[in-house]
Amino acid sequence: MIDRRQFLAGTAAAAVMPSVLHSAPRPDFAPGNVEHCIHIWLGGGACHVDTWDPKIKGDPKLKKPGSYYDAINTSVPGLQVCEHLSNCAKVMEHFSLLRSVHHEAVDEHAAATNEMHTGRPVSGTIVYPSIGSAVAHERGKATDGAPAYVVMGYPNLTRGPGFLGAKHGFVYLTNTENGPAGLTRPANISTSRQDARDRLLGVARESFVERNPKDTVIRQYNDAIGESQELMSGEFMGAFNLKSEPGSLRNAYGGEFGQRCLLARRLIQRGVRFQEVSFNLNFVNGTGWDTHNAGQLKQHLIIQQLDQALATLVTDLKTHKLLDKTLIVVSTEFGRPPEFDGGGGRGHQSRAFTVALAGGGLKNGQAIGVTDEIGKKVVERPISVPDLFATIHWAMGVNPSKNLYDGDRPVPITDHGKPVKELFV
Amino acid sequence: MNGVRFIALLSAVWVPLLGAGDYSKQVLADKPALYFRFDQVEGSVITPEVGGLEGALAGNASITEHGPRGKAYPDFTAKNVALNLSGAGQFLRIKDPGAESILDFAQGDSITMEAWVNPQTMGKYSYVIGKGRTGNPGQKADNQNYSLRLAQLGSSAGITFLFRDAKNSGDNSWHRWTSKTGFALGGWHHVAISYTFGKPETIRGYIDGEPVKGVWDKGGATDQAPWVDDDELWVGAALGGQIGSTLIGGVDEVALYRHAVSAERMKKRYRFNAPRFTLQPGKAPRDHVRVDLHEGVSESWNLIANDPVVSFRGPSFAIPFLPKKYNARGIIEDRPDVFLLRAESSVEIPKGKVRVLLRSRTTSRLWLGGKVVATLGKALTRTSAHGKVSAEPADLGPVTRLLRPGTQETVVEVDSAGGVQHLLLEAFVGGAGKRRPETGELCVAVSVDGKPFQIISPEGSWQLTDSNWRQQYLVAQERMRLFNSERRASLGQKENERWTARHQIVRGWTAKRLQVAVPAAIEGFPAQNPIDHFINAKLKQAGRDPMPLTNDDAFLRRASLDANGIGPCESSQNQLMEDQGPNRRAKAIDRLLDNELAWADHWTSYWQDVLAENPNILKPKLNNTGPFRFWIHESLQDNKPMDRFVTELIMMEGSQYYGGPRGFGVATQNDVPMAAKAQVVGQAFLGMQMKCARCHDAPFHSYNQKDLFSMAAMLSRKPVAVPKTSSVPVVPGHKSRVEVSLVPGTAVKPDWPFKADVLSEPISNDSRAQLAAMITHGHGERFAEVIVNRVWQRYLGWGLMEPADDWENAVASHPQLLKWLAREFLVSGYDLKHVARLIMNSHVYQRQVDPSFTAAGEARERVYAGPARRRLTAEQVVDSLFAVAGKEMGVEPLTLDINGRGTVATFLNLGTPRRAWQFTSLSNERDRPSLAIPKAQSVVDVLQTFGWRDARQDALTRRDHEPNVLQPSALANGIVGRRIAQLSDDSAFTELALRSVDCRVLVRLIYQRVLGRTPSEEELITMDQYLCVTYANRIVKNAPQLIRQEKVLDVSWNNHLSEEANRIKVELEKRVLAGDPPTNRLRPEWRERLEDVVYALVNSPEFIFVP
Repeated sequence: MIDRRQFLAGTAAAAVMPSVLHSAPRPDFAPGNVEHCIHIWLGGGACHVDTWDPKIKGDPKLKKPGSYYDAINTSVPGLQVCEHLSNCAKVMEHFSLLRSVHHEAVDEHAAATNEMHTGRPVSGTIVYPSIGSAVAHERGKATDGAPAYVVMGYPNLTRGPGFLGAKHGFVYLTNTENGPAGLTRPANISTSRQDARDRLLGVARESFVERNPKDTVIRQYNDAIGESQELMSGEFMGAFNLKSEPGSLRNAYGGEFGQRCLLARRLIQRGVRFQEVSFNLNFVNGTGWDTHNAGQLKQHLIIQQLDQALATLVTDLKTHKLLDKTLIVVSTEFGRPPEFDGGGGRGHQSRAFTVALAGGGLKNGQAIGVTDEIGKKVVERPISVPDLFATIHWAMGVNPSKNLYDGDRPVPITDHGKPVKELFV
Repeated sequence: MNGVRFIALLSAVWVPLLGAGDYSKQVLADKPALYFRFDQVEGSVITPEVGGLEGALAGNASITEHGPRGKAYPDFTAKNVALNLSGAGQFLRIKDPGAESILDFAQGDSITMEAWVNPQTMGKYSYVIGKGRTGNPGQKADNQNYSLRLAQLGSSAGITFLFRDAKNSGDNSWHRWTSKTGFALGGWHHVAISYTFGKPETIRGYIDGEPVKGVWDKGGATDQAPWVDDDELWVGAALGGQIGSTLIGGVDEVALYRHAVSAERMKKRYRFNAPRFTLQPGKAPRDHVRVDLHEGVSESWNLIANDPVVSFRGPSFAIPFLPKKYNARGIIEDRPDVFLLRAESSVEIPKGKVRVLLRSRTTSRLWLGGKVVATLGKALTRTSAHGKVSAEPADLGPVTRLLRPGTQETVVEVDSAGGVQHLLLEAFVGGAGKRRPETGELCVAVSVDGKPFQIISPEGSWQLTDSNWRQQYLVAQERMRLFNSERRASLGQKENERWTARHQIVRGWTAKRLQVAVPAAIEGFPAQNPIDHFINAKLKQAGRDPMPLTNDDAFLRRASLDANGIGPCESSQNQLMEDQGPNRRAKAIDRLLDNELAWADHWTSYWQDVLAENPNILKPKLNNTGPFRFWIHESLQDNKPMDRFVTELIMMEGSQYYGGPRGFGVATQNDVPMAAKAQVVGQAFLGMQMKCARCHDAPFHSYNQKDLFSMAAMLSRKPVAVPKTSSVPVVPGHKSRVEVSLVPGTAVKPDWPFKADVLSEPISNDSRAQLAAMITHGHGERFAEVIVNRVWQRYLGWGLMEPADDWENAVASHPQLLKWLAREFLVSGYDLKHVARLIMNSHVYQRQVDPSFTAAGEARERVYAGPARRRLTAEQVVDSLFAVAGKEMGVEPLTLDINGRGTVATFLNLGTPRRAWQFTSLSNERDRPSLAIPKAQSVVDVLQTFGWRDARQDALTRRDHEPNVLQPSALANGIVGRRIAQLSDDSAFTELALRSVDCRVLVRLIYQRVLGRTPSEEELITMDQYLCVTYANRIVKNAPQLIRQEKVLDVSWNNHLSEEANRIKVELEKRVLAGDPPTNRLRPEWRERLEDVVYALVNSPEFIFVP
């Protein structure tokens, strides 16, 4: 049977014409050297004018649009952020703020979350992979014995591998105490009991394989059992033992989200390529980042938690000489308008918001893209979601113009995305 | 005709009429200008009582015997007839004789319009009486002289007065007054409007004789003169008779007055003796509870009695399930927004002071001994997510099941007379324009002398504990399933006959066209039916030997998995063992195939993948469909012939959100849903892979965009335009490797794009029906071959044609066998089970696996020395795990709106799953802890790891079963694996251990249960050493029976944005991690050993492969 991909690649036309349909050309500047990506996900739609892109102060009671907090200076002259990001402000030279991110997905959580994870609207013919799966597919795991892609949050379709297949899916955990689903041994099973179980299982495995000597399908699954046992007892699982970290560092990171960031650093040290770390601790203010109505009142608490953890993560990575090789992306499904709603909170706004980057050996310490005086529209240097994804790929040495393949169908890895040049040269 | 005109003229003066009821007398006393009773009919000409202007029936409008009459409407004659309108183009037209006729009203004139109406359905506006706006040629557009219409107000019908002012320019020339309230559909109602042109404060509206408040909601109140012209007066429709303006149903007693009839006169117009329900304790059953459902009601105790639409027998006053509604074809339909349940029985109630508990979702009341003793009111409907977590439910005792969210309760103390008493429960279901038709946890229970509450049941009451409720829930579910089956069969009789006739035709056609010679038997090559002759012939040619037959254990486990989705139970194994007759395996296969529920459970997941069934339980915006899985499951239970299955799928009728095939027609956020469906249908039933043709001509297939869009247009029943969003843009200067032959915006007409046989049956003018006929019968044997090949692939591992859903460049490995099987399929009446039976009875199916058969390879290399090695599907893994442990899945109901307040377009409830096919994506794209469904998630985790898709955005025939490290990890460490290996009180292994008398026998039983075979001598020795030493002391004597009361955590959509809700769910997740608490009836040390043995067996690779 002809391999259609070979056929596609091998025709004479391909040699002369561009090998893909309508992709942006390969960037003309050098790629980055990033080895790991931490994709921090602020679920609900984090308000950019209340965090990374402060504007004049507004007042919900007077229905005056604007930021809810004051702005403060940072370690980068001329660059300000909101007052509750004071720790990040001190290390802002490691950050780049993309203030002109925008998309046209329906202003609804699932559709917008899908857009910010796959870089495209939902299609009728194909399920696109998430950025995490695409990176895992292109770069694989950094060391053996670790999965390439880990999610700290809830499993859902938008984080999944789409047409790339289950191989490029993720391992997930919903909180750091519980460990990853499917990889954490029940608490009441001691090591000796597990050994006894594995011995009995070993007998069963051996006998079955012996009775089916020529069966490679069975043998492959049996090998997977062995791999799984190695994974369970190997270095990778040791990552979840946060107690082995000094208490002072754990305190510096802060609450559950901070502990997730700490875990993220440990997983990087064990070879995980891409991690999605959710900030979904909705028990703090009820709504999480989706600050309609009364959710706005305690928003500062979650901004402070984010600030503390993120700043600590940056310095911790720096201490371990990992910061230049680790790209941190702080993303969200959309921003929020500067106007306040009836309950003193805000609605959704996808046409202008901020994605913050840190580390990765990029030209940090800058803000790229400008919104208008109240943060409602992009006025300079818009950055599309494909551009954002192209930036992540190129920083990690992946050509953002290349094709993935769904069977025979070529699918450009980003949809006309161009990496943000200002971060590289 | 002079005589008639003379009488008509006379009628302008009041004349006492023969045969008129009191209503007509009232009308005549008020001196109408024009009055139709519809009782003087000649052909299509209707003569009015008063006014002399004849009316003409248009289209299929008719006069029928169904006007207001009888005991309920005493002011009318017994044989009162009325105008009946059933579709577009039906109405009564009256010509305007000329300028200043009795039909013309000018500034200062007063008008009253009145009629009796009985609408069957409601559009936005339905015309009762209207002059102008007829669409008649030569008339100005929008020329509404005046009109009385019904207006849709939620689920009621209000009234509205509409006219155009004399300026007749622009939107502001419309003036419309609409009532604020209306009447519920179902029955005759009196409506009237009176108005004096130029004096807007004189507007009056009346419904059933009572004045109704209203508002000028368009154009405002005006003192302008009305538009007057010579256009016709129509009854029942406007705008050319288009269906959107037509009053579908009945109209009677149409009267037009040239003055305002007073409110006092109107008050006398409406006399309605509502039939009421009467209590008839003597007729109540004593050995069961009779449950009746009544439609055509509104949610109020001012009940108008009618006949039940369906009646069923329940065992008790716990009613978690209601019968589905089916149309004449046996397809699931929606009930109206609200309906009434009445459950009745005569039961023994002890004497003295008893406490009675009533639980229901919304309005309900309980009658005991002829008196209402308990009531509950309307449920709340707020759907905001910012609510608070409610206080804990009332404590009704240490073991009583606590109240769940989405149900209300009340406890009353009653002084019971004792003995057998009449009990009647009345409860509304649905309502508020959107509530789901669920009963919540509808039940009635009694507590005597402070003892725990018992559910009242003529068969014997039972304690309202959590475990009893769960058990009875499953019993009720199965009863209702059987009841629904019976009703589908009886309702669909006519339809069944139609298909039987068609199959006769197909049989004749097949006999003529499709002859296949079966090769001769070959010496030394065993065969059990003709399939084997085809297989053996090629085997011999290839110089290969057949694999030997499997032993009984392997055969039965394989056949069970293939027919029922799980391994064989103990009795199935014993039956095969005890039967030593010659057809023992064939009989075993028959027994397995006879289990219609398990057959449906197993095959539903296959068709979900192939048809891309993709419901979402929350705000579906990711290419979602409706949950037509329930129609698939019922079709499989009924062993529906596949041509009928395909036809029903393509017709897309029935319920959209509650499981009818209409759900197939939905694809949210998709720019051309019908193109997606055409692609699914082509791939599923014709082996035509047209995916690429969505956006450009297929590069490696012969299909182009026009082919796909022609089929899409047939599904849409009208031309479909190619949208820009579904087209690869042509960039000048770029030589594209794909061609786009259709310009975006081109409208493609409905047309069958492929070769067509002349159908041996009349062609329908419905393009969907045509498409279905073309696929199942008009394209040669392709459909039959594709279907039988799918079954072959599923059971043997690789199809005779590969890939099974893309035949363009494929070659059959055994073309004659394929034809032979297709022939069998057609002659059997498109019977899927018949094909499965043939295949399973063949020698080749029953052979040992050929381990070298690991790829499809070239068609000429596929010889089927034996079947290929198959791994269990994800569903088979999960269902088998729960089956061997004998445990219920026990997960949460699959909904994010447990209170049942949301509209069904936003929130689905897929119920409490019993088998894997019932799961779906848990939709936590919002990543909120409060939206997590942890126990269900644990099952979804295992399913996904083994290749199940939680969201099926596109069609799939073959899943990826490549092994990866997460699969054994999920089984070994995941919550489901934990629960299976935990010997809790509800585990079958616990029961086996308690009942057992010999340790080695116990080991044997466990092996039979989990792996379907006896252990080898070595295995027995290993297990003996591990388990049997401390076996003798394993039982803990007199261990206390623990009845655990489940805590209730009130987290639903309504409060999920609260901090508390998120905290509760995080806590719940931790609890779910612990799994199922162990029994205390076995000594822990020994119990743990048995758990380790179970662990080893379910984690062994043997468990997840088909033998």
